[in-house]
Amino acid sequence: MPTEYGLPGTMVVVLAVATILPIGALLSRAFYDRAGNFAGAANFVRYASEPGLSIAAWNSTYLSAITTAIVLALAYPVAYALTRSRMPLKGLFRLLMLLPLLAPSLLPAFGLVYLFGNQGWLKSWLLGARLYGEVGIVLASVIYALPHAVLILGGGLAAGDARLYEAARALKAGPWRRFWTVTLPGSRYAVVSAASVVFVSVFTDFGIPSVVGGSVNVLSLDIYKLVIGRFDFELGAVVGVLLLLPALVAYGVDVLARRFQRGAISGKSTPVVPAPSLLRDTALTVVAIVVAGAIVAVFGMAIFGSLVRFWPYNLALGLQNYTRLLEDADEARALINSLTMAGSTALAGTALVTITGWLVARRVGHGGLTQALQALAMVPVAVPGLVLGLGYVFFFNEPANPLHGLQGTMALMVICSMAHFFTVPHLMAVGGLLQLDREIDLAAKALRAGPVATGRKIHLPVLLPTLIDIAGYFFVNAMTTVSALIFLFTAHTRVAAIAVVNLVEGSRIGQAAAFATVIMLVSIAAALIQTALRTFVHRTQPWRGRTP
Amino acid sequence: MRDTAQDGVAAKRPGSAAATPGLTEGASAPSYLSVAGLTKRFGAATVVADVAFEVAASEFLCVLGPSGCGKTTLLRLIAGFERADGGSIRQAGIDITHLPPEARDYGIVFQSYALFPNRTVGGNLAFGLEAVGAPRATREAKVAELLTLVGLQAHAHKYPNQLSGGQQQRVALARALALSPGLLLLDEPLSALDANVRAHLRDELRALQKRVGVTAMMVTHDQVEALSIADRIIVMNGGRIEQIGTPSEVYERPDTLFVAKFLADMNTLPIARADGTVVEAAGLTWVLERPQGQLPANPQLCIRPAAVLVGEAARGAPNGFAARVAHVDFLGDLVRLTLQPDANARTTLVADVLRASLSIRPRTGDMVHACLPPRHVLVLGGDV
Repeated sequence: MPTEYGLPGTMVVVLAVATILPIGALLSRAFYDRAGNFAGAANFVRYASEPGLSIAAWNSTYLSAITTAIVLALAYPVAYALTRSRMPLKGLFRLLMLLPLLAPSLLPAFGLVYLFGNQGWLKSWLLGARLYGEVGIVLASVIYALPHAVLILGGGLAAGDARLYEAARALKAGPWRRFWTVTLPGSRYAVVSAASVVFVSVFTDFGIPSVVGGSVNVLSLDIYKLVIGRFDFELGAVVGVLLLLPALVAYGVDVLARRFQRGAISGKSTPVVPAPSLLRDTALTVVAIVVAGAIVAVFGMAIFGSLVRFWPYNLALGLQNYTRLLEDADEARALINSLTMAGSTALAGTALVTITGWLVARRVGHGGLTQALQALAMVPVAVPGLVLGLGYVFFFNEPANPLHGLQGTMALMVICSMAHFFTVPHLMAVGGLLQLDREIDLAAKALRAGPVATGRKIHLPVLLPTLIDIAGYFFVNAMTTVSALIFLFTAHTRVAAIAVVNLVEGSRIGQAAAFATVIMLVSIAAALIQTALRTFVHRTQPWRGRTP
Repeated sequence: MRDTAQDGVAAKRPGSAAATPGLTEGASAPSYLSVAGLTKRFGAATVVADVAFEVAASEFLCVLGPSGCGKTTLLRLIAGFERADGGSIRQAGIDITHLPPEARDYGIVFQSYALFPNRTVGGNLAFGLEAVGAPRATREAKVAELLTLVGLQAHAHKYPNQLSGGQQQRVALARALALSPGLLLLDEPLSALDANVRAHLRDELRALQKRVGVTAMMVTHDQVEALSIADRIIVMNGGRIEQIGTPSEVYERPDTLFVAKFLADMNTLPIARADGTVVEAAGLTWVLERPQGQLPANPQLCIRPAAVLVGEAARGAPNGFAARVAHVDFLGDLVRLTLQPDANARTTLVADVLRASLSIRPRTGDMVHACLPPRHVLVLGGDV
């Protein structure tokens, strides 16, 4: 039967080719010398003996750690304000907090350059320190990583159970005691999860250090310089392994945290409705205003800078940076490429996760195959984009590979983006389909319907709004990613986010900020279309009301 | 086929050397569903152990037991959602033990109803007809017929979330009958409903099954539900069948202590010795209606609280005794008295007495006469 072995088997092969085989190619490269002989740890020894290189590992580690601490300290009160307070204008604050998700990571870095750079307006605020280097990396990374942490912590806090608070009150616990004994323990797994996600995304980000890193070397810049600058693929692979390690550790920690969390939340929890408290709400609103204000200031400055004629000498506003971009054939093509690439990723990726999510969630097909599918689908979230991209280079450049023909094509960039962002949409699809009771499928079976008919008539309509969100997720991420594609593009397939990096390298900061702003506007447009489509779908599905 | 039907009649029961035929009335009727030696293991646990029974055509069978007794697994084995590790299931003479669910002939109602949320009532009813490729005219006629059957003509275009629990239950029932199956399987179909809706739908379900003439097998943990709806009841415990019989058989003549206590409250007095019709239990001597043969393991003298006589009627009657009222509970129409026999104050017996039949209201500490009428006294054993 095709749904028993054929379809799940094909999906396993597709996911293996797109994820673990390229990663395997990278890992093996780290242990072989240039001539192809097994070298053991020789490449690692060579890496450690180059002082400029090994210091990057330390820089990446401690900068990521500092950023993680700051992000958690800011994100927790913000997430708390959004879920557990009566702060006014929650919707607006939530929107502003999530703004950075829609922009390439470089955009806040530009804002910081205009604010605190060598010719920045608020340079004196740094008390003599230079933006370029540790300060810049940490500041930009905090803004870049904050929304991820707010999302995860908000999810954890929203899952709280009002009955626990009622029990605590009945046992005479005051607000502080309730916070320390109910809220904090209840959200500790979300804290662990947020910390690991933030650490890894900062550790592996390429965009921020390339704009505000100055002379401070980090691993993500090193891997680029080693591969593109020195053609030293062996050391590049070594750095790839180093980038992969903390990601794997964090992934393991996150998996454990989620497992504990699942045990802690019962299916029938009552949502917490915060009681009014002037002191708490005022304090949290102040924190939210400061954080949202900082985000708005940094993004606003980036956009403002992109509109300025000649920073900082001629502050007349105009669209010259934008018109110059669109008049340049290369940059215009990069934008078209981005739209094509992100659009294709959204379509193909959504189709793919519809199938994998369906096979896994509804247990269609042979048990072993769907388990393998689920395991493979979880791989990408643990693999940094730079590592995956470099793995693609090693795997698809190999002339013996029958898929060698994909090398240098837009299709390969689409596949890589799809694979890189695969896990979250897959889990969204699985989650969307798990809303349906398992007995629904048994009922359909008892009514003689095959899995495909049930999938088409029941599962697909139920999943439809989730599919729109999935397409939006793929599009926005493919639009803004740099790291997954930096090793894969050619002159003909260069995309907008990479064009931004190239403009920075050419010191054309104004145009770079303008291009990054364009990317953000495209993402915002995509998000608006996504919302409109969702509303439309909900209107065509009247059965989605509340149960009377 | 015939010989399986004969073999399967004898239900295996623990603690009973001579297995009584479980099927008394149905034995002569042709068997529609025949289960023999059915066994299902999950890892080391045997969830259904060597289960055998027969169901006659158009019969309503209830599988009753506490949670974890294997009754739902038994139903899922018959539905084909679980694979049997041993034994056989025959339906209408065909061995269906290894057929996939979609190749079997049954309709099923789930505890959750499992209605398709994105389809209207009509769409839910038509789903199976579409799957088997019935033409549109046939589908529409059948859907209309089903809607009439469950009285939901006015709700054909509503979605499940616009219906009450009772209405959803009716849709699930109608949907299960859409392909005119020979067998209707019901997995705790009433347990999600309010008590009064539940009693009403119970009668409706029973009437509908008789009208359609479909053979029905319902799993439930509710004794009253099973007693009131079933032609016959299978009582399960620990994966095994304890007893098969009509509602009055399992209630009045339980084979084991487990069945007796699971169906309703039961007074039990540990038996020390038995000799013919004379039994010594709880330090007192009692007489039985018929002589007791060999005692079962863990023998107990049993009587339902409602069978205990209290007051003047008990004076001078066989098995009469004087007792102190240790406690009085008012249960509406009934008064529950906890009695301590004078002769052995460490033993207690419970008597349910009709309130209207009492001349004076008993109070704690009162001395009363009571008796255990011999025809209501049972000697039962086995683990509970």
